[in-house]
Amino acid sequence: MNRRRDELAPPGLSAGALTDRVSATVLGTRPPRAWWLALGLATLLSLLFLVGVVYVLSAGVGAFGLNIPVAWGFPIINTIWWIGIAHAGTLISAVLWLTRQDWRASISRSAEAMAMFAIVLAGSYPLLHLGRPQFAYFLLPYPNLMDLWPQWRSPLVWDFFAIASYLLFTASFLFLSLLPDLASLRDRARHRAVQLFYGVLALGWRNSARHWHRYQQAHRVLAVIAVPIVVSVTGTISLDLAVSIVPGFHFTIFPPYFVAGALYSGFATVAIIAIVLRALFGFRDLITRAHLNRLGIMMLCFVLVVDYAYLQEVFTAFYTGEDFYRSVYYDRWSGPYAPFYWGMILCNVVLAQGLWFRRLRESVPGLLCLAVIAEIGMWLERFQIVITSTHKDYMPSAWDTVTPSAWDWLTYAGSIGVFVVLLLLFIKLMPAISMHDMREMLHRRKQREADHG
Amino acid sequence: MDERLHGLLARFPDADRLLAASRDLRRRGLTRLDAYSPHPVEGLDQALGLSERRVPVIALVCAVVVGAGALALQVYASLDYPFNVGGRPVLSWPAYTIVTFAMTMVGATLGAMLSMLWLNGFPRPYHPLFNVAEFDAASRDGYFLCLEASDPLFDAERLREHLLQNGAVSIQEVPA
Repeated sequence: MNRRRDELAPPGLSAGALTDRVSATVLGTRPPRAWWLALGLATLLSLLFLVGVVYVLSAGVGAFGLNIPVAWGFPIINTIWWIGIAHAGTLISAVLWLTRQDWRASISRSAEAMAMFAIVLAGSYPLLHLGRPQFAYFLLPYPNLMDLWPQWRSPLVWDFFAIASYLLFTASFLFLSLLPDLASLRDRARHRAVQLFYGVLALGWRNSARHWHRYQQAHRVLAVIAVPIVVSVTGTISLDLAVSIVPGFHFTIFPPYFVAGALYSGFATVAIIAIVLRALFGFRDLITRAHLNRLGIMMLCFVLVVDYAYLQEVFTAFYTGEDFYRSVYYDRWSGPYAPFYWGMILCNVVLAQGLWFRRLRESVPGLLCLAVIAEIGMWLERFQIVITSTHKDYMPSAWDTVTPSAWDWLTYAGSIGVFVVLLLLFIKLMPAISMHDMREMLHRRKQREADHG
Repeated sequence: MDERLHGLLARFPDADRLLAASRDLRRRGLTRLDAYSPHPVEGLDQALGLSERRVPVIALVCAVVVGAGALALQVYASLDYPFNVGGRPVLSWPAYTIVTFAMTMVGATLGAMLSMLWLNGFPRPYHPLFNVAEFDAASRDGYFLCLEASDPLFDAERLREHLLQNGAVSIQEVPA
């Protein structure tokens, strides 16, 4: 392999220069103009979310395009889509750390932040969908006068626990990995107020060997439990569908199929964020084409699993010999939602094959296009799973179609705006590249060079 | 003078020199010393005699306790208010595994995080080392070793020589 092309960081980069460069993006006085522009546009977009939420809460959940039988609609589609995006962040920061992948160092921070904000948005949709969100606490087991408990056999209760525990885990992991970097910022800051801000957050971290010793132990524990968490959270959400008897939902392949799709769309989001960071802060030498290439390879791995699952689902439907299962597929292929199905096939099966070409994976516009295609394709997949399965299940008397309302689209577009706003604020307030991970990576590289030379 | 001193802070040019110096001084019987580096250095914890494994143990205990508690709660709730849904057994344990698993992860997460913070003595707003201007480099590219004055074998003059022999580039006294 071409060594020069596979470089993960500039050859002569020292730990000091790296720390100065990354902390300058936070402590420097003026963010780039593109950052302000992006923040302005994203804020406008996020106002749509606010308007949508206020309207839906005041008018009721009927403002969304929902009916019986299609009771789930956009809120659940978007929950599955957002939680899936979060998963790649956990995989990069934990699983790739356990397997000692050097290339994760420069993108792990943005991936963790992405995971954090994606879970917040994923969690907000079920609350909106409740109709009476003020009763959300009914999901919690708490002593009450009615002597009632949550229904522990219900997938909706499982969901609540899965998402809440994932949120707690991701927040802890993000803070843990930020801790040494907050100390770096505290030590670099020159204004008293800034020193206080990062100093309070750094909790008195001194880079002592004792700190690092316990830090690594805690990090290892969290990384190890991240492995089952990555496969279990979206797996649990898929059970909402799979434990029902609705044709099109009731497949045993659902948990792995959902996880692969989640990781596919998540890596696509990491790729988009990596490309934006490169352009915004000039990190082209820290997030290199070699990183983009690897992100593309990860996307390819998971999209192939997704494609296999599509095939397997169709096979299962026909192999059961059940008319109801088969008719779900006839309906997906030629029914009122056929454009969504074929759009999904176009994105995730046909266009995604572009990921096989290294030239495309390494080119910025090429990977950006493939990543956007992945996001659209995965959203269409979630759409066709949630909507097409319920709109035409067993009894023709129960069949109905549903049209997404303007509020569906506004809230969805607005939630992307909220995500971008949160991410832009994060990369301005916190180092977008994990400085201590990079220092460790550079240290290892120096040792390797010393051993070989 | 020694009562007013927190210790001696020596700076080393690289991780290997810091590691060698830590090993050397530890061999000479010093116990109250700590090394500071901008990233974890492999072997440094052994060199300083750090072998405690309390963080993973606490995490494991928390995971088991919280997980068992979650399972017990579900069992108790099912018995306290039996729900007959389509004739399913009152104790449908397979359905309880998911919440139990999620809460086990919560226990492990909180156990690992909080024990790390607690054992490291965080939050710690003040420390004598923060008074040393050069110490800011510990979070950039500086490798430091601090010999604390509370050590029974502490002798500033003699230790200064040992540190220089081990390749320290600068040594300064840290006021308490």
